[in-house]
Amino acid sequence: MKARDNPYRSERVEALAFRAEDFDWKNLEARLAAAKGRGAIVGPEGHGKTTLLLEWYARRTDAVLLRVKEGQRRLTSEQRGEIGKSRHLFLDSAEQFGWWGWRELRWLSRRARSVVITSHRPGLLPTVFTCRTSAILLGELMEELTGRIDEHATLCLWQQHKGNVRLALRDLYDAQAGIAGNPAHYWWQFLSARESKASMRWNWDDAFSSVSARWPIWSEFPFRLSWRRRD
Amino acid sequence: MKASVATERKNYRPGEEIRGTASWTTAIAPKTVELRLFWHTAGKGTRDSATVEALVFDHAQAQDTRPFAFSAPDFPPSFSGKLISLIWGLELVLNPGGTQNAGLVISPDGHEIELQSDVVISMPVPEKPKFPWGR
Repeated sequence: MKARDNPYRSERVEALAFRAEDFDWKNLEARLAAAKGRGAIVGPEGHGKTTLLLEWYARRTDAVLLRVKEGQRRLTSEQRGEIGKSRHLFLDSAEQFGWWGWRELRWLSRRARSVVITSHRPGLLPTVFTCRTSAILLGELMEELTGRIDEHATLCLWQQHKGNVRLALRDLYDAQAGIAGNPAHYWWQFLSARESKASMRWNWDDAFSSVSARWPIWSEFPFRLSWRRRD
Repeated sequence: MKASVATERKNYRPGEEIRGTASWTTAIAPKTVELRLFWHTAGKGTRDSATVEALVFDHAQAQDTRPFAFSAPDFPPSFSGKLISLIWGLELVLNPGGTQNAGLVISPDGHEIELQSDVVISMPVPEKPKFPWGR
């Protein structure tokens, strides 16, 4: 399948609306108000924190959104300048900040009416929402994107990725496209390679390293054996 | 709002002229109307896009039809693989009003280039260092 026809392409996945079982905008705003306008959206990676933050940001006027890159320990000079311009501050990936970076942000945003951050762990600001996922949620997203649902696949993927819906959807993209990452692809590779066995030989080094690199996933072992063309 | 972008055909070679008409019907006359020739990527990764050329229609009426002409750029060509597709298009932006898109194909032969993942490219495999104790 071509990338532009893949139902799991990034533009479609990013357009999915945030959803959760116990989610309500009124309650969320009330929790933020109760926390004196300082709140954190907490949850592991791929659980919808950024999606919720972006939707919340879109609902506000006079707001600024800052995105912290991986490994960024403090605000950049551009970001420092933007903080004072708006009444509401939304900050993604606050857990990346170091001690000094976090103190600086707290100081610069002291006049802001509200500050909402996302973080992998609680404790930086009062938690206003904890993002959770489920196999049912993954199934709902799958149904919205493709119009059909595979309960077994969603459960397997959700468990395999420990609730990380983003990674599960990427695997579904691969499966739809028929490219590496999908176990079925390795099986197909194995079958097609067997047909041209004369020009191929096993490469045990590669086979071993690919298994040991992903140590506990023994279930994938038969699919991770690789072939290399004979010189 | 009703808006449409019509072109003489969908497939173009670099340097060819993309001719057509942009039409719209809105409740009030839009303040600005712009037609953009752009490309964007679609697929597994982050979406990338760029506007190559833009045309502003002055004194737009609530109901209007305007002809346009762009020159098809040399690069990048329309292509599609399993991981990424590059798509050319025309975007009519009415403010206030909304947007309307029309897809195009621009490539050397006028057809979308298909990236083949099954093609085997023979490359020399570097020899691994041999350990003194043998392996």
